[in-house]
Amino acid sequence: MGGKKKPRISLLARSALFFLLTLFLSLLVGLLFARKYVFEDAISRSYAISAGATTAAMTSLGSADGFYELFSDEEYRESIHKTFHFICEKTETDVLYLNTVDENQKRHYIVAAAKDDYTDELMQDTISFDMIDEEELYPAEVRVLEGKSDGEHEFYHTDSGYMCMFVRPVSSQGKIIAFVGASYDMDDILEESKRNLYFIAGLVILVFSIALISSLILMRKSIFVPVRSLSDRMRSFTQDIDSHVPKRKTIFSDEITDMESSFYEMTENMREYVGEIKTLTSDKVQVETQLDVARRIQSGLIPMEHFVLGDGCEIYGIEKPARAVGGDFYDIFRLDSDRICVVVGDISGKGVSAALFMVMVKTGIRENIKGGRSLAETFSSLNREICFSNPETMFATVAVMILDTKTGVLKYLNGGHELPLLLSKNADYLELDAGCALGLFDDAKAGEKEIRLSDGEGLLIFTDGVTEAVDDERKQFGKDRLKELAGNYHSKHGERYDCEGLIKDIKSGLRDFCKEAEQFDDITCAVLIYRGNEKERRRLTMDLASSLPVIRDTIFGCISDEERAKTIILVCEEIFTNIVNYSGAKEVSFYCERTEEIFAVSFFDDGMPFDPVTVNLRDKTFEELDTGGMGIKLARMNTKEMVYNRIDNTNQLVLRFLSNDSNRN
Amino acid sequence: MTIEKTIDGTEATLAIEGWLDTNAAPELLKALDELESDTESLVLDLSKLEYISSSGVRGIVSAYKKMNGALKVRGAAPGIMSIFKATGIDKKLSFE
Repeated sequence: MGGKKKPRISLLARSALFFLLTLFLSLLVGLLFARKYVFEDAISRSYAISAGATTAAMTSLGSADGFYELFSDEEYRESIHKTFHFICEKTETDVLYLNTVDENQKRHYIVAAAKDDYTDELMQDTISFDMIDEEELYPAEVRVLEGKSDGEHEFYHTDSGYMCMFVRPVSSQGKIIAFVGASYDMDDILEESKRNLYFIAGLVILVFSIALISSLILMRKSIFVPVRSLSDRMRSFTQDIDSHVPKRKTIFSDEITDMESSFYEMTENMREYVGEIKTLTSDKVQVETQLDVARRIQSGLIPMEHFVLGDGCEIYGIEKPARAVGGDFYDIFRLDSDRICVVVGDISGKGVSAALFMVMVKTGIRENIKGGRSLAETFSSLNREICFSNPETMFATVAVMILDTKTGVLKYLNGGHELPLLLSKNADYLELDAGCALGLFDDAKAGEKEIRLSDGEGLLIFTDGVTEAVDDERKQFGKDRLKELAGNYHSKHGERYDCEGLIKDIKSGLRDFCKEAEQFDDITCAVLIYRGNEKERRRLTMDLASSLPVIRDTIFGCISDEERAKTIILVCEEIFTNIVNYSGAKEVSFYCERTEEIFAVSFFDDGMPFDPVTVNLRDKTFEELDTGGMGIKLARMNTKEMVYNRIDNTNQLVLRFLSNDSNRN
Repeated sequence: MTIEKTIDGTEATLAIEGWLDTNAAPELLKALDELESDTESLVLDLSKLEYISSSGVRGIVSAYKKMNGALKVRGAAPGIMSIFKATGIDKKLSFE
């Protein structure tokens, strides 16, 4: 709807108006023609009457010889007059007369009779034999005298109305000696014709009106009412698609019932389609929701970024799938107080199936290695398991490494994955057998290598999403460019690689290379750097005076928000003080991890079992507060989650906090 | 951490600056021991205190006990106050 509301004239009113107009016009035209017809009809009838009267008069006259002498006799004149009067009455002729004409073209009356008795007597009294009429001759009389025909007629108008006159010559011996004239008043005939005309017109109007009214009633019943109800149904259908309107019952079928059944069919179809669309839409929403859930589960399993800062190493991993759920993954986890494991992998294909496969591979590697298997055992065991049941014939390339932070020894396994860049004085690709991907053959072997990293040396492990990123000319980023980029970063920043800085450089390098070509964000890589020399510096000894500043500096190095850092430092201080004062531990190691959601601090100590998570803390009075126990309470209050495990005579405590970003959100 | 002591008659003020953690707490206890014997009331000026842990809180409880309640706390930052509240000592302390 919208715009100006148009004036409404119903179809019924419009057709009635149209009918009336047609009737009016046809009557107008009909009357015009009828008038002409009526006049002509009157003329011909009056012509015939007057002509007939003169013929009769002529017959009564007999021979014209001795005409004048005969009429001199009054008796004869009287008999002729009677005859004439009789003719007048019979033929309805008004006047019948017999005249002679002299040389001066003047009439000489002989006999004149009228139809009605009063006029007839009046004429007998006023007109005498051979009386001269002073009036001019009528043109018809003149034409008769000229001898051109044996009868002339003429119409003229008098006070009493239209008259028709007929004149015949009376000849004797080839000479016109007199003429007989008859006058007939046409008005009666005209009146009669008019009456007939009006009767016919009235009849026409009546018939027309009956036809009009009955056709309007018929049209109203068969067209207007069904059309209106159809339009009402259409309106109600657009407002509520589920409104069922029963079909109208009719005896006959016509265009309107055709339209109605078409509409009925259309609404049924539309209802069906709309239902289908609704189902499809809800299916689509469901699929999208499931994808969204998959993505959230995946991002929960693989943080978009994961930074680890511990005693002896620094690791940074990122994963950004180009699509909702990607097939690339990485994993960083600690085996014990000294060893840390990094995994980078790439699943063939994308989407939910790839994501599920990825979860299986990632979990499989983690559980096998945590369960104490070597890299090679882990690979072959998992490979067999996958090959045993792999209906989608998916496969995964993996790179798995374990760094011993005490010695700098790095065990590296490559299962068909891109070879990593060794970050040393120069950046160079590590040389080893690339091995075979997981899930291809059940007897596949992976490449293995053991290297010893010096302080500041590390590895960059990436997926082909990095090297195969293309620019707008479909040219690939390539391994050489990546090597060059890592080398440049090294020479720019001296011997100390910074994980986060290198990854930032790789990201901006890719962005510069790809420009607007495509979303390059399908980038997954991890940087591991061995910090052997820092191990001593970052080691927590049983001396609080030297260890507390180490904790403080490390956390300040990870958390930029000062107040937030202080709260985390408070928790760490309370936990660490507790370990030092009560556990009898000889060695404590700790490391920090940061993802986009969580900041976590882990403490590993070899002291007596002590679980700060479940230990029962009695509420103390104010006076008792200076005796201790308050620290664990403060620590619990200020952590999001505290997880304690006792593994291999080691207390493993993980303190989890919300990351800055998540906290802000 | 540094502790600055000022004396006004029988009222002593200890202005504590920096980090009052496990390592620094003994210094506070030492400063309390060194208070003049005629000190009747103590003010702890915490306006420059950046950090306090449970050891520091215990030190303040010790000060309260030593002064038999004649202790006032001045200028504690919101972060410090929240730890006072978390440990419940804010109910006993009087703040200026």
